[in-house]
Amino acid sequence: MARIVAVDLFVGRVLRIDGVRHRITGFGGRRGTTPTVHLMPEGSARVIRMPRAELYALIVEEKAALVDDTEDPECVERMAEVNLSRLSDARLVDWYHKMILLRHLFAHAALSPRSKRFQAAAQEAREILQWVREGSGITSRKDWSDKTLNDDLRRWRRSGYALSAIQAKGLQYRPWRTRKPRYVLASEIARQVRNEYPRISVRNVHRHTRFRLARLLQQAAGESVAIEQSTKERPGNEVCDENSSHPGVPQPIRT
Amino acid sequence: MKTVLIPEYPNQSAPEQLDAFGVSGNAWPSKEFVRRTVSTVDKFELAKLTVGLRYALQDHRAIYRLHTTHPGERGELDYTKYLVWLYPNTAWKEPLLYQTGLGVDHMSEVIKGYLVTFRPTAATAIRLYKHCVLPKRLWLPEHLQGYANEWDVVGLDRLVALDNAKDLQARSALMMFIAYGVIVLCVPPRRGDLKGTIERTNQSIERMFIEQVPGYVPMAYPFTDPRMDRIKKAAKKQAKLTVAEYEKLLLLAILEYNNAKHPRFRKRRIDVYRDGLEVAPPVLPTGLRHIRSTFALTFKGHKVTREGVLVDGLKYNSAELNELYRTGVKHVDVKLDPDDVRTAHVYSRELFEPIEVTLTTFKFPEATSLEVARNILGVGPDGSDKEDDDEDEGDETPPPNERFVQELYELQNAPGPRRGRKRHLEADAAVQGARMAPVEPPKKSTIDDAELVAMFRGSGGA
Repeated sequence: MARIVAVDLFVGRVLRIDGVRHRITGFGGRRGTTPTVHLMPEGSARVIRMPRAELYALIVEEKAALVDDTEDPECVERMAEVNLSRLSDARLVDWYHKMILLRHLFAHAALSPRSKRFQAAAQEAREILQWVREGSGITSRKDWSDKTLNDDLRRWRRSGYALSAIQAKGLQYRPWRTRKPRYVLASEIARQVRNEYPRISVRNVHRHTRFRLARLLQQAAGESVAIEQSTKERPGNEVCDENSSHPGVPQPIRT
Repeated sequence: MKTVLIPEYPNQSAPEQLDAFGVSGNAWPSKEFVRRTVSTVDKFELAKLTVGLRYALQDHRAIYRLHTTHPGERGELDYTKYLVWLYPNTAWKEPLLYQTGLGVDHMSEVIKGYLVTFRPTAATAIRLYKHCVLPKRLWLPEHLQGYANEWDVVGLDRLVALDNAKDLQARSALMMFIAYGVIVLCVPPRRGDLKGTIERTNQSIERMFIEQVPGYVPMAYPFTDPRMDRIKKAAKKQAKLTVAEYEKLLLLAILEYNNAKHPRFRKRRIDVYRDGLEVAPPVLPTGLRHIRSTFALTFKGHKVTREGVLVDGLKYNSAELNELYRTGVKHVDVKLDPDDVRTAHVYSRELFEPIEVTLTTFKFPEATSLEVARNILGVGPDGSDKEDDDEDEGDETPPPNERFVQELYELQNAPGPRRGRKRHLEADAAVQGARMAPVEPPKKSTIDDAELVAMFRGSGGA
């Protein structure tokens, strides 16, 4: 699938390499040696030292992918490849200008469109775009609001930075895909948690949502694997506090 | 607000008029006042009004340093001023004049990619930027793969500065930049300082490493100056290296340059780059199919026939394309990866997805570049068949795989351009052929015709 990926590597980041989930445990390579990434396959204590350049190559070949289950649920695109030849000249110019804006706002995708930092970054992006327009001589009065750009960024991220996500929704205004059940489930759980705990912070809602989603998925996986194995007790899985008023839900963090 | 001084000379014949404004004799304004006022006029604005923007840009330089804050913010591409006499392969008798293209990151000054070419075209410009963006394992030749992990400089740039070279500003190259939203800064003529980092890097690489290479041609005078002929002839006699050997030397020079200390940050350039990745991670394109259709030559509005589509002398077809032809589509756009011509991508307004089409005239067993394919198939860039004496053989033409090995072997061991073929096309193909894995000479059948006839009769009689 056509996409561009910001290869943001940090300790704790999960990668899927050849279908196996790996977690980054550290970085190696002192000054003057080949830089490496320390990867630990899930369910194993063995640490693999992979050169950073090799990891980049695997990501480009799509043999490895950065994974974030809650933020980037798996989805199926209708259009796998970006196809600029379908656009008219005006739309092609719009595509180019929008990509310039989004590439500038790439690092600010997590911010709210109403935050000052996002608005400042968007303003800076527009100034750059204006400079490009003046320099290239292509006049286009097309503009997008901060909210639209933020929505585009979020949609882009949700679809794994697939370029066709911008093309389909941002330029050609096609009806969007049906969402995957996992994504719908995550959003429903988040709403449910918000209703149950109206006063907790977004961070804690996120924490609860991840926990409940993981538990549901774990249950679904456990049922399908083997019924007889479920009779055995697994003390490591009892993470939640059974005595609380809501069994199965972790207590909110009190700071 | 900037003011432009428009000279208006007072009418000397009417002093009473001057008195009316109080400017006659030694009255105000004084000469010193005028001198100071004139010295504060924006000379660039003045030149822009008088000679136009283009020439004003060439004559005025801004005195400031351009600051970038993270790697990948600004990249610069250029070919070097110097040239090198090199042999395309070990058997080639007469050296050819080669150019080197480099791409650098502005903030860390690391070199992101290189390209050695006999003739810069749109395909080489696309290759140069592809080398800058992709991990090195994916494009370095076989004998240099050992250095791939050491050179971990990758990623798309936010802005790329290019000069006025026609190959760099070709439509195919610009389409590549547009697809990724890379801002293209086209530097005006004679303004090398607007992409000073790449110019300085070229100079450093030349002074530190390339000067010692046999066959090096220093650019003492403009290239068209007749005095350059003597320098080029003297350098030609010194030529010893093949392109593959030069590439290895260049790669080692690049790694040494990347590991040298950055003049302002006081640490190695590669460390500046790696530390900067924490602020702004590298942005990579993924999916080999996508990469093949983006870092590609674009052919717009090519005619579709029952036999498929003819692109650059190569004929492509597939069942889907045939179906498209039967629905009445007459013209399509084609994207062709110059590094692998076995397949291409066809785009049409009627299609939701691009169609992958296959080369129908020849079956290449491995990824083959455009230049080698043209050479083997005997077609020019305009699609015309070249003169080739071997084609008169009739029924004795070897099957595709054998022919590929035979042609590649000839290409890798050719002593010069073959008869009836254009010199520059042969040289391009020889360079690309040298990058491919060396092949064994094709084995001739030890069985003669009489034995074959006897075997045939024997099997038929039994």
